[in-house]
Amino acid sequence: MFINKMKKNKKSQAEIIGLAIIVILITMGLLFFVKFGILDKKDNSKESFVNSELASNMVTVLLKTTTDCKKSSVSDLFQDCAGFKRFDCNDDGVYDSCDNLNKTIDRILNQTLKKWKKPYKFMVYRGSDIKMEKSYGNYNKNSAKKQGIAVIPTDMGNLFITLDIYN
Amino acid sequence: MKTKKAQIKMFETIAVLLIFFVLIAFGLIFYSKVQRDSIQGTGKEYFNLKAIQTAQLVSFLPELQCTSPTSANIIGDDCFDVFKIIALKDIIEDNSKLKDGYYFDLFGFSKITVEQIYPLGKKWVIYNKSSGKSSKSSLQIPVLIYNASSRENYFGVLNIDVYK
Repeated sequence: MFINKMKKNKKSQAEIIGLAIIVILITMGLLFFVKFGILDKKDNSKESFVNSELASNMVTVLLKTTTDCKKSSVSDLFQDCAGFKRFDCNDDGVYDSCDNLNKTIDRILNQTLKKWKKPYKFMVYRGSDIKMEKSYGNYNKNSAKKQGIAVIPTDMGNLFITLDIYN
Repeated sequence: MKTKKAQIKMFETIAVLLIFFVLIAFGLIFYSKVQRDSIQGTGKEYFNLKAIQTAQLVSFLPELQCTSPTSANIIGDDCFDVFKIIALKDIIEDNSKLKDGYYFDLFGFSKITVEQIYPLGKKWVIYNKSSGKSSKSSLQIPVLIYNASSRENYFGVLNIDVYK
């Protein structure tokens, strides 16, 4: 009778220890979840500011930059390239505002965003007609981005310039 | 037999206490780690904010900003005058009192550089005061560099490195 009681006691003790272990494991799991799931949020205030400044400043500064095509600005070249194409940069009888524009933008984007390894998509369009598209890096279309926009009036309607910088 | 029962009970109590203390120790370790991470995060955020603050200060520095050729009051957006850049760089370089006094109060331990990207070439280190520590927060902002004598605009980048 006494031995049976002792056996029962031992069994219940083992069950209690098992329960305690389960409780400890669940607590540990919860703590890890809180630590890595909720508390471990990345600080991205700087990145957000930098990308936002980059996108807006990049477009503004780019359009005002003087090119080596008769001292005209990038904005002037865009107007000509998207319009009647009357610029002859080298005085060789070839209207080359679009070529010059392409080279200038490539050089600037390669020396800045590409060098800093910032994924971007640069697009110039009028309505549904895409005039220029340049991109770098792997980015998801749905991922967070900062956008810089400019509008240039041309002979054939407004030209939209957008620069998306992805996180 | 009674002694054995008491021993088992004592063992039970000791086991419960042991588990209790282990849980408390685990909780304390976790809490201290979370607190340490939080303090480190706040420090990092402050450091990054300092870099942003310095960048904004430099962007709106009257010593560098472009003024319109027709009116001295009109200031171009995100534009630095190339002659002002050279003048400020020389003044800060030559006058250590100014560098360690007025400009140190503004910029602290940092390095401020303006780099001409298109056409490629020039780079001006306007202010450089290192704290001797390697950790830094850097950011780059595109700016227009205006040359008043040729009336040309160059594409430039303002580089800010803030040291801890």
